[in-house]
Amino acid sequence: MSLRQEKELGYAVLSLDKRAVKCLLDSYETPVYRFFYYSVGHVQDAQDLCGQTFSEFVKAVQRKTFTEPERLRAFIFGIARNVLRQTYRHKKRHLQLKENLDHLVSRDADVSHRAGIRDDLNAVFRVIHRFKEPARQVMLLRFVEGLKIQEIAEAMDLPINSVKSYIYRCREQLKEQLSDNPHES
Amino acid sequence: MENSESKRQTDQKIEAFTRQARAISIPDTLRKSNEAAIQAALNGIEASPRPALPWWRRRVSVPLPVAAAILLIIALQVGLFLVVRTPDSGTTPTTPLAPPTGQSITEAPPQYAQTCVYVSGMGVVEKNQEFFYQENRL
Repeated sequence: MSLRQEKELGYAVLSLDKRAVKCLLDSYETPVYRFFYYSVGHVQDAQDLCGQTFSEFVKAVQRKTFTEPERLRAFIFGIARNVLRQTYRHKKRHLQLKENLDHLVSRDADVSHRAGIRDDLNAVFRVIHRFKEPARQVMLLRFVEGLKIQEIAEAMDLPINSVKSYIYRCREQLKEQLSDNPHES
Repeated sequence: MENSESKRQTDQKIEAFTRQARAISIPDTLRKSNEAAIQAALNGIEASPRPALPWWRRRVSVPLPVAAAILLIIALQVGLFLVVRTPDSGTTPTTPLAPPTGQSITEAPPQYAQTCVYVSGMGVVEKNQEFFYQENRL
């Protein structure tokens, strides 16, 4: 999504009409779900947290605390990060790798292709699991979701220099892990 | 320092990794559950505002320097009060003792003298009390 589109969507969701909500979900449903899924490692929890995030976003629009529509992406991921933090506080849940990954693989693919994708996802999980918070969140936002440094700083409520430092260390850690396990790349 | 070739290889590996990470498919029920969550939030527009807290549970935020200054002033006042009050408290007799039995009735009672040093604004900072017998001038 381009910056202009994001800005337009940010202004459109202020009305909270059906079309704007649909556009919002089309744009952010998958990234937010992915962020939660790689953070908690559980489909149902990730789905619940995703719903909670959009619910909190709607409440923020109603309370008029969403004041900068051009920063929609950072705002949504900021809510997601707060929702995740509250969940960790209540449940003390950690990333689990035991879950069957079959449901994550597209059903359109053939059996061998699905097995290959499942192995890849297992490898991705193993790499992500080695990161500690908040580096894991920074890594997901930067490398998987492609947020800018400024957006990550706003979403994570961190100084820009800290974000840059985290990104550098994440990159080094990723480089090291992907070199150790060539299969994972 | 990474040279450009190894940097390019690292970027390629990270790119491949992120491509794999983005490859997960979302559950079929995700859209419905998100729409339901949004609808529930929209329906809660008329939710009642939070009830006001009773006065004994209300909080007032005070800047830390102000709070520290107030505490310091209170501590100084209490400390000064105790320092000034201590010499008067009990152990020092304020009245001359009665003469011991068997002594001459003509002996003069002990004399009492007290000197205090005051500092304006603080009160008494030093106090001396003396008891002495004056020679009998017969």
